[in-house]
Amino acid sequence: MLIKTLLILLALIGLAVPIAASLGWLGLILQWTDSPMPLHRAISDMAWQTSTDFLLVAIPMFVMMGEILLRAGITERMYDGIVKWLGWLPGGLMHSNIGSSALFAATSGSSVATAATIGTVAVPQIKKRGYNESLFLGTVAAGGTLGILIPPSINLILYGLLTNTSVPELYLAGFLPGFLLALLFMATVVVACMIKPEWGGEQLRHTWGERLRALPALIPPLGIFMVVVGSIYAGLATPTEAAALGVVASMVLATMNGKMSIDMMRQAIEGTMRTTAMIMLIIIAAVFLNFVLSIIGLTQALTDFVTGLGWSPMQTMLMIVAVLILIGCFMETLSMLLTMAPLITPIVVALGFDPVWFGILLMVLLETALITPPIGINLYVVQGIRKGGPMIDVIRGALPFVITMFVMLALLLIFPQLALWLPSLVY
Amino acid sequence: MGGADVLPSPHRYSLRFPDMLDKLFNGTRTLSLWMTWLAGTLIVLSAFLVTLEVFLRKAFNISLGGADEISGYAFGVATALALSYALFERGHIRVDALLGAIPKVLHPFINLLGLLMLSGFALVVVVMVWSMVGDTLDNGSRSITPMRVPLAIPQIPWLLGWIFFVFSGVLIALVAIRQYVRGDEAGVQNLIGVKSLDEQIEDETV
Repeated sequence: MLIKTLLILLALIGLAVPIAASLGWLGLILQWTDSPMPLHRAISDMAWQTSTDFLLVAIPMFVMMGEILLRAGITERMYDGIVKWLGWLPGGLMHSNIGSSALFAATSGSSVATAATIGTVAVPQIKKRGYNESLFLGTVAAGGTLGILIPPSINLILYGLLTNTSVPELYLAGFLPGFLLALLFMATVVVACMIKPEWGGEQLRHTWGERLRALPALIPPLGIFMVVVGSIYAGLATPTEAAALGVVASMVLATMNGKMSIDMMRQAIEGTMRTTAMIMLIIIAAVFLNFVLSIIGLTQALTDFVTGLGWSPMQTMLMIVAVLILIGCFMETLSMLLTMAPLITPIVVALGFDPVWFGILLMVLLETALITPPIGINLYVVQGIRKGGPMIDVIRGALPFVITMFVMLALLLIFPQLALWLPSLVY
Repeated sequence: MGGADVLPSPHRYSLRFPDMLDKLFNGTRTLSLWMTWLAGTLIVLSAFLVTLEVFLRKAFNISLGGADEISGYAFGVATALALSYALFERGHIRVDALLGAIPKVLHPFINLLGLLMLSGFALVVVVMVWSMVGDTLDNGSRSITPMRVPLAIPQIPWLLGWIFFVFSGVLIALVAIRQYVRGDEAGVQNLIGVKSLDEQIEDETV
């Protein structure tokens, strides 16, 4: 049953059948072959409950917030502002790439949007200031992945939904690892530039006066971040309510910057609804597949199989991490999250690991997947912005950051408190 | 707003032989766009409603009550209304990692298979939802909340969105088959192919 399921899934996904249809048909096929009951009758109820779930209302709202902020005219000023604060470090603008990505990621759930937006502002600086092109492109690709981990992350909401884990708790857990990873990325740049000083390009000196004058440019994204994440952490709002606040706040910001218009909102809406419809269709199919898998006992069989191998929990966890890194080389992140989380989380919990902690570990694995070849969407996004030059430059430039991510994974495995300490203060 | 030639998408389907099928296709596509604008407006309104609720609750300790329930329905309806637009925009994710290993000649068939499987799954949902909405109407079901909303009000537009999604899928498949027969490979790719990276980047940025 296990092998059959895996083969059908691989065949469907390999034939480029849309992920939603792959998951849905896998559920339908399994219920015909393995279940005496007509499980498909439950689809209507599941589709309705999932479609109107207040928790998931956060998805279109966070997407919309990001779409509006993208058009609110804050990115370039934010980038310049961060340059003034971080430009003196060895590696100069590369730190601004990571810092801006972290800040932009905090307000936008999309890694592609983060890498594309920061990349568009940053890439022209490579030649102007004499950076090592490869490493510079790597910082843009890697920085863009931070959106998955730093709250408010849509991926964490999806993980919470599929594994019955509290989303506010996940958001608290993601906070420290997210910013630690951003710091580790910056440390990677510093180390690289100490080994090869000629990679570092021009270091930019700014006075404290310039820095202070740059602060107002950082207030909008920080303000939005405070409104959204702060209201969740302060217990003022649920994630969905915070997302609603974020939409309103971003509309206010766009209005203040003179960017608000019917045309702008129309574009934001089209982007939002295209993404939302795509995600929700996959979720409905994934919820149905989950239900079928647990009724026919496959989830249990898989858990029994893995725990029956007689490995220690840590050995099993390392195996899971290795398998997920491998899968991440070939699969797009959203599909990977929605297929893997429901299958693997029960195993992990049965081994005695904390599901909140595993959620964070999984996010770092998804981030890794974004910049590991051959299928790492951020690599392609950065290559696309650059227009010209061999792809291998970007892959090579991202490699140090893949290693940094491995370090982050190791840190999470050795010190689970990194993720669990903040939630433990509150819950 | 006229026909498809004013659609904002840069990858619009080009018309060579306007006929009934094209008219139907363009009309459906335009309608899907209008439905998406309506859907997005519902989300924006929900955001304001929920914000108001949070504000009143924290500042004055007044609860409107039901903002969560109403925005849940608005979300469900909005998603269903936008399903078809995402299909026209080829927004439903596919993993094309292995497509490179398959001969190019076969790609139109694989793309068509993907589309039909997506529409087929949606059809299963529609059939099941149809009987659920039938039950809702027969029983006059209301939500089990203080608001006691008649469930038919959100469920009917929600079902219509799903039906429109299946209809759009079949229509796109028909046009794609016709273009294939006419030897218009680029047209088939624009209708049902996997989006290229440049198109994806264009989608995600301003």
